[in-house]
Amino acid sequence: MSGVQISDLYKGFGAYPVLAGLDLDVPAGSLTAILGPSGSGKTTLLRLLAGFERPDRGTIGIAGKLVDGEGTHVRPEQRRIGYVPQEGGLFPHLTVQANVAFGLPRAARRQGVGDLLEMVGLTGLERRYPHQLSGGQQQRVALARALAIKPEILLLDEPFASLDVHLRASVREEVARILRQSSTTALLVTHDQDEALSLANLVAVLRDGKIAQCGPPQDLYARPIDDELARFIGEANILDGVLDGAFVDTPLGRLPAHWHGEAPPRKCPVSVLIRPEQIELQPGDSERGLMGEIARSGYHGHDAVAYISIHQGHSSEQILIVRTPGDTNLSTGSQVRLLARGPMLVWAAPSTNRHPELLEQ
Amino acid sequence: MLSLAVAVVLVAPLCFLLIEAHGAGTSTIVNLIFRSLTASLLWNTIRLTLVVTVLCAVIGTSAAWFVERTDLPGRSVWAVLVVVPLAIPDFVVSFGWASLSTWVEGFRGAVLVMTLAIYPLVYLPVAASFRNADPGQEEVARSLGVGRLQTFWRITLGQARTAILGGCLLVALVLLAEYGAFEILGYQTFTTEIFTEFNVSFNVPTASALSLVLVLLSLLVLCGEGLTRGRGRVSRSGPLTQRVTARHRLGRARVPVLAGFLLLAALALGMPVGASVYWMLEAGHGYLTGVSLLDAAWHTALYSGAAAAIATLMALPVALLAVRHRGRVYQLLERSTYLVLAMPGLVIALAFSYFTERYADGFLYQSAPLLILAYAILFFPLALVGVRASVMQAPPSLEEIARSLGRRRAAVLWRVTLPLIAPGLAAAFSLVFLSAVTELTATLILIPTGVQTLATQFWAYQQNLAYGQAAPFALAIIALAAVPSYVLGRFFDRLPSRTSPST
Repeated sequence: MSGVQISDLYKGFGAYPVLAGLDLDVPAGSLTAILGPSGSGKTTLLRLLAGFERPDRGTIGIAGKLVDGEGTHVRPEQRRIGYVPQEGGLFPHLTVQANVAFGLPRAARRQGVGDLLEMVGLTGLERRYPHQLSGGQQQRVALARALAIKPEILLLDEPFASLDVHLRASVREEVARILRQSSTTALLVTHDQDEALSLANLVAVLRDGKIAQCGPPQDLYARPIDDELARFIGEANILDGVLDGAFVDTPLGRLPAHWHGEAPPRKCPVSVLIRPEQIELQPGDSERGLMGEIARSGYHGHDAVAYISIHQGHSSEQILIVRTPGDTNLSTGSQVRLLARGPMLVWAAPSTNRHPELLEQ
Repeated sequence: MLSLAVAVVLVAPLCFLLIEAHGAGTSTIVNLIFRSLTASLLWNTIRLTLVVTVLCAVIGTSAAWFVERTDLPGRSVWAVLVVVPLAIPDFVVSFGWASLSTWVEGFRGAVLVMTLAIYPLVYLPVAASFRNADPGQEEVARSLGVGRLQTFWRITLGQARTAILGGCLLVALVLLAEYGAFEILGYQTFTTEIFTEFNVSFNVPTASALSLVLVLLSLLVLCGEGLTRGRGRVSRSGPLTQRVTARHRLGRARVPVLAGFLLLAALALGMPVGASVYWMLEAGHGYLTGVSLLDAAWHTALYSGAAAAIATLMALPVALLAVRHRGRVYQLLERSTYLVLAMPGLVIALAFSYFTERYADGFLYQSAPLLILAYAILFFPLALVGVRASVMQAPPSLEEIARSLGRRRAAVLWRVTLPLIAPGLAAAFSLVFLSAVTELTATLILIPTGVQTLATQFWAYQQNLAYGQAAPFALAIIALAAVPSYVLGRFFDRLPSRTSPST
């Protein structure tokens, strides 16, 4: 066994519980993203894994070895954990060379550092001090330093959050490449769903001190377990519908349906998830599709988002989010028709707002 | 554990004092306290403290504002000249004035001399706070339609308030503890009276009774500062980048302001140094005994250096504990060390000498270790200030990373924590060294028999009116104190870059 196994983990600060019965399996060699809003306990989870804090209850296993729980607590220095904090956390009084070599035995320093710096593409900067490096360079030195000890698992705490937008994408790519190259198991904490979806091969969403759902990014986007998660990962339209066998009747017509777990009763009210890109806009005078009126729109260059007001049955007005190509003419107030594509995910109705904090993201 | 031991050592003199007073009998003590002598001492002490504190606040704050916030010509030079008087012991300033002018004596002499000697205690923290505070807030205030003068009162002084109060606190405490300067000026305060009772009349009950009142006064000052500190805080919005803001233009006020700085430097710096040089030249070369000067300088450096090392070492665990562990018990432990601030050097020295004589059979009495320990306790709060500031700058996350890289706790302390706080340790060492070199009162009582430090030798000559022989010792003290002052200046100049460079 390798990777990380966490089971039934509890941690609170004072009376305030942060993690409450968290279970998570991280397979060896994977890059797993822990996704959650600010204050959801992501950093606490990393600090527990690194051994900086002790859990109140539960067990943590790293590379098949129990490091927390059942009366044991392995100290941070004995865990072989590479930890890369948000700002890199380089030792300001040491050169790049000495930073990277910090965890290495004396004999391995010279050769080891050279190889590592080459891997992160910073050869030649050995004698610089951290304040003489750019933000992206600092991140890469921090990564090299963490990789130097050949860690069982690498922990990255929002490593790209402090970089500016232009830098972020390139450093992100770079880090992903280095991680693949060194085939290190890595756990990345982020509140940026875009980052999680594009970078990780496994995404775990942290909610209420538990992992709400864990799976490959495509799975998480296409098959969230409830409407809150659907809204947290990407944009979502949630409509009322009636399930009828393998189909669901929605205001947008009769569409193929799929669901989690065992099949629901043959005919029942459900909530339907329709992603913005599953809806197609047709001119207002075309024959098919649900009538709607463009309430407002936002232009993003590569595409545009239209907010379309519809009337669903006899209930009140509802706004649907629709993604369209950037060159679509979206003048406010004009009439359009909506066509939906593909199988729709349904959950048993009614949908409730149990987790408003996820919606803020 | 280590911190607890430090706290016990620090509170020891206070306990000795209480035991001592208790030994004299409660009723005796009460009688000694409630008499007219106490009242007149109280009046002398309080009026001096009030007047000098206000003067220091005005001079220190305005000097800091002109240096940090205006286009005063030669700012960097003034920034040094204004602080240097701190390296000149109060009793040397006093000597410089009193030996040349008979006008300088009594209350007016004490006000003049003490203001000139210790206003840098206000200048330093206020200048630092002006450097740190966000000048953008002034601009915002102006843009909201508040006038220049109003902005100065409401924003600028508001930003510096904590620093001003902190400086005033130090000034008041120094005034309560000062002995040498007042003795020369013939001005009677609690400290001079206690010294006379103890060292001349050997009247222990009176000395300890008056000491109690003195400690109580210092405690009152400390509490007063604590009360005002809690409200409001200085902060700057946005990231801690040093912005370049336009300095206020002095315009036509430039000449009078410059004249003011010249006058200040002449009075606070020129006068004591000039007087010492004058008396040395006056006496000619015949009096100069090079050997005794060197010997005294060596002992001064030895005792001060040892005390500085010990005080810094004691401050390290307390600072680490108080900054890193935010618990009630730890905070209390740290607070208890501030009690030392309320213990003037004289009182600590008395407590030690009385206790060793009475209960320890004279063991260690008037020995070098006891004097060094007394210094270390007396100046512990200063060491703590330096170490604390540095510990707060060293992010604990760096230590965690070091541990996750496979280093043990001890190795992390040695390779990460200590290098990070090294500047603070150097500052703490310098601060204690500087203070010990210029210390007179406790030294006079605890100095080992047959040994002279620069301060005690100066004092002996000065008391015999041998000004020519005293002067070289005064100059040697100033020279010895100048080195750590320079180190300190560098440290506090670098403090504003508060974040670690890795962000």
